[in-house]
Amino acid sequence: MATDTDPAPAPATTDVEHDYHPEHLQHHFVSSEQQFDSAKLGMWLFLITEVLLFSGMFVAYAVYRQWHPETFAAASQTLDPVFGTVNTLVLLTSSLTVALSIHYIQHDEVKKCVYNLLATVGLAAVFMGIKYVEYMSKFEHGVFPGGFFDPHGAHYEFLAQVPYASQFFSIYFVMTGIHGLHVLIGMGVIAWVAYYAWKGAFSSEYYTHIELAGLYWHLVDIVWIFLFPMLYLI
Amino acid sequence: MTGFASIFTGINFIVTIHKMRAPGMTWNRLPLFVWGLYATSIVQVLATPVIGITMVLLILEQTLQIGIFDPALGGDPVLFQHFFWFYSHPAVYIMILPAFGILSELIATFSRSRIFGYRAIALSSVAIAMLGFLVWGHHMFVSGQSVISSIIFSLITYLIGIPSGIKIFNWVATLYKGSIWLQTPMLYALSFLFLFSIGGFTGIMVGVLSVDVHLHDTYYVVSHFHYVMMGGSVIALLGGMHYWWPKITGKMYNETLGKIAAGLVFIGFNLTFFPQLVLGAKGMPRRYANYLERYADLHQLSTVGSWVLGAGLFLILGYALWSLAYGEEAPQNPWGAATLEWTNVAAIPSHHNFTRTPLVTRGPYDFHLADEVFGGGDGEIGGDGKLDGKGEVQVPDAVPSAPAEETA
Amino acid sequence: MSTETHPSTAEQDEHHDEDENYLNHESGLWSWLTTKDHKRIGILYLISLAAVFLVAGVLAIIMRLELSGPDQTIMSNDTYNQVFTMHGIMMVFLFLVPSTPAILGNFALPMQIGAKDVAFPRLNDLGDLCDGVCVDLYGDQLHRDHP
Repeated sequence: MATDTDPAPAPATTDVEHDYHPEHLQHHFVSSEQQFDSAKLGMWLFLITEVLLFSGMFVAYAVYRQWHPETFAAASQTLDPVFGTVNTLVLLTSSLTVALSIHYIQHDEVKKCVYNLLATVGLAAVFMGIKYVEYMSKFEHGVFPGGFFDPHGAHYEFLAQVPYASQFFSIYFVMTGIHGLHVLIGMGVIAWVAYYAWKGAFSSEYYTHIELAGLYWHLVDIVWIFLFPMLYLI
Repeated sequence: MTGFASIFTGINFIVTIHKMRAPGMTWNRLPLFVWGLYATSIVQVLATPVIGITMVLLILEQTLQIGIFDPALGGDPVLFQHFFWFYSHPAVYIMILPAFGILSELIATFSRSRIFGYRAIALSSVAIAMLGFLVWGHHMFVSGQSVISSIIFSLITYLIGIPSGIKIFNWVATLYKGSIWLQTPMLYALSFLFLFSIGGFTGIMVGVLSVDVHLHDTYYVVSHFHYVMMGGSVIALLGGMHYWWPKITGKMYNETLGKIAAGLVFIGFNLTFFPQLVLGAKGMPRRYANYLERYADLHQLSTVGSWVLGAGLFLILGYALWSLAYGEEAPQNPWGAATLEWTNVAAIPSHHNFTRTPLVTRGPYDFHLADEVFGGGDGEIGGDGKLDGKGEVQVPDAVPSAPAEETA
Repeated sequence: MSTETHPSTAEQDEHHDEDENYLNHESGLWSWLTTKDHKRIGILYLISLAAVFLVAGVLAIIMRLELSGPDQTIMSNDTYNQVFTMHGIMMVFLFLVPSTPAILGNFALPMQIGAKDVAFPRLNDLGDLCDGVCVDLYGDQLHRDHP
């Protein structure tokens, strides 16, 4: 996200430092390592801001769980752990494929890299599909976030009696919703990276964008690994 | 949206400082302005996302009526206070830490002496940034938090006073026996020392619980934070603008007008806000357009002060614009500073800043070292304002910076 | 990007042409708005933040005028309320928070550490544009709140 894709043309000077100037190297960096390290450090910092973004929501979760533990226990019963488990496996697999794509580009196997990136996008789509089914089954029974909370139907009816149940679902929809938004963004980014990889923009010498997309994708994965037990299991 | 700008700037600066330093520019040779910005960037990166998610939750609360903060929906307003102050207290340091950085540059350059306690100043910036995250609770003494947490927050708040004090003492120690050159930026730096100290002391008084009860929501508080924010941040920014103006525009501003304006700003500022301190102590509450007859004199004095202050600021705007059109061409290093942007960059920087990547072999305030090597005398500034022989400092002839075996 | 089109000629010019600098390196409003040069971005910030400071400062002067007498009324109490709220928000969030890092930090930091530019120039420009949009949005919001 942080660096240029269109390669900057190499400045043609007679300075020693410019003797050899690879195409992807931007003018203000001295070396490819410096550029790669900078991009990576920038990405880590960005990931820190993302973690803090989610931590706000985790704090809200912790506070309300502390206040209404029975409600949270009862309401989380209505979430289907099968969906959750499958989704966890799907995301973990996608993390594997994105890691493999980095491995392959490091060995200049562009095709395999692209296939793995596309597999990641596909798995992310599966994840979003399952989330869609989950959301829809709740919306059908009037389980909406916040003020529109009106549960009915066999599986959800009892929630109307549980005090503060709407709060649990507010938090559930906000957390999974924002996480889902991150998954969508990740799909876009990885698809875009895959397109450039297909066009031959990357090689073992230069694969910053794949690396960064991979880091981002691992973060999305890790957030889900925390969300899953907190919302579905306990 | 400013949040995004803030995070981007923060990330950008941290990575730049970590990865883009010229060869030889070790952490101990970083100019203190850079250290200040480094600390600021840490605060920006760590605090801004929290206010971001708070805003998102607020918006969702209004549109979807999820009950996170609103008690009517079963939410917890105290949680909002925690989130808000977790950002907003560090935001104060976002405003003041860069000002500290500018001050260090100005004081070192215009007293022509190596800054006293370089490491203490550099690390105290980072210390302030870190401690700043642990004190948000002192805005919430009345929100029903436990006594223990109040005491802890209060204690850490006083701890922050230590690094701030270290800085002030180090600057004064730098001035001691330096050859002080009273150019306009230095006038602002000295104003800062004076005004910020008043701001700090009045802050301590508000911090005392019993006094706070009397002064709460009076003009005393208004005056206090104007002394800190305007007398601190804005004055430092003005000093910095004058200091870097020749490098930014390549033109000199009018020194006489600059000194007059600095005087007007200083007098106007005190005339505006000192009466407000007295007003507050007499019990004038803030946020009212009308007041009792007995406060009239001081209010009028304050209003007159605001005109003087305004006149000073407009004068600055005026001669700044004038200097753009008719100003004298600036020399490469009008202040005889020893940091790279003055010694190694042309009068108006080129597109890539440096013709050749510099190899840094000395600290940012080693004026004497620079003088010894290049025969610039004992720190005296030449009568014509130019520093003969002091321009090029430690620029290696070849450019050995980039490794020859450039790998990709 | 236009700043990237002819870096080779620009670099050669630097060695031959003494008058080449970042101000006349390229001209035109578009080249300024899309610039990736940290020095130009600093100047862009300077202009927009100076404008904010001017507006918020004038508000302060107006407030002091209202307060120059016990019952002086050049505005209603409600208006006074809005004016000092605007003064506070603009000064703190639109001016003070970005001020020094964005203007002087952008301008001086890379030169002080001996770098050619900040690590992510494009992100830097994006931040500047975000800031501009933010000021616009705030103005727009005010306009809607108090037409």
